[in-house]
Amino acid sequence: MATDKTPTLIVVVIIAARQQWFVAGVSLADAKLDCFVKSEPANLDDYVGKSPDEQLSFLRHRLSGAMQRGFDRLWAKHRKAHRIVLIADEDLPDSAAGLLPNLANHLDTWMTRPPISFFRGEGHGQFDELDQLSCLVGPLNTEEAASLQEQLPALKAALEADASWEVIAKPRES
Amino acid sequence: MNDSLPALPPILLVDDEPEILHSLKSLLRREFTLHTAESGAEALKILAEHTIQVIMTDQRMPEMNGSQLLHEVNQVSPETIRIIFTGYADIKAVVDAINCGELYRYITKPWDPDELIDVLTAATKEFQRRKHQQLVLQEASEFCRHALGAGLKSDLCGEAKRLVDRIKAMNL
Repeated sequence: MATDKTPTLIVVVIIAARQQWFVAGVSLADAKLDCFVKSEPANLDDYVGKSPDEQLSFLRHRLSGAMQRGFDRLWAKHRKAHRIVLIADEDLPDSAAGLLPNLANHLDTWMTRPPISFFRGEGHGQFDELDQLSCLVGPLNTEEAASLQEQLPALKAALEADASWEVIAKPRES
Repeated sequence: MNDSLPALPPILLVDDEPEILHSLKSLLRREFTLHTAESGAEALKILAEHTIQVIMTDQRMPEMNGSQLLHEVNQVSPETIRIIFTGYADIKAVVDAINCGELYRYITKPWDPDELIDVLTAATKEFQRRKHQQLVLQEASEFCRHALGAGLKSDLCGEAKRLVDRIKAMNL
């Protein structure tokens, strides 16, 4: 769809040990980083103790809310989501085997526009280098990878800067 | 019911999460006359009191889910265009929603705001197209009845009767 809006990556970072997510935007035109929203720690902990299917369903639901906030923030800035990039720094604690790859495949199957990428790291909040991450689905093209790589260190540093983010409270469950 | 269409098409948004409704209101308030409900029961109450061109509801809600709500809407306000959205995407939910609610669209969250506005705008136009079609058919039906009453030539009379029967079969 033709648009005059600036194409932008919606980047969702999941810090597994804290069960917390962050949503930022990285513009493809100038690789500008905008920090949008973050959850409180333990926002994702409701998957613990559920069956594998329920864990997948819960994370799909909760993260779709996070991604939606990214869309809404971009829209307010007259920018367009070009691709959604999820980065989990490691597997979620106490989760079913293969949860993140299954989640990545599910999102890739159901979310056709814009396309989705899902990367997983080796842990401890380390995701400075794209090369160090495993791409579970949706490899980036050269331009996308360059823009994201340029901002990954700044994004990682910003995670600890509270003032950069609007905090989203944990929703009540239905 | 007043058949004249308001300047901004009235739509009804249903979600048990107030924050989602708040976000949708910010996005859509310039394009539509917005009604919101946090439950299926509240939505049905609004439908009974207002002409609603499009209803868009979350699938996952307590007490009455989106499929059940749209099934009810199809009974009480069949002309209202029905859209469901969900952050859960699985085949069972999709099939259930389509079969129970006779949907216009099934939308998965997250949605692109521009595309959501386009979908809702198209839905209100579809409502207006159907409404216009309904009015034309009603007028044609009335005309045929009057013509029959006035006594047409026998061949035209048969044709008019067949037309009236066909219009009646449309359950206007």
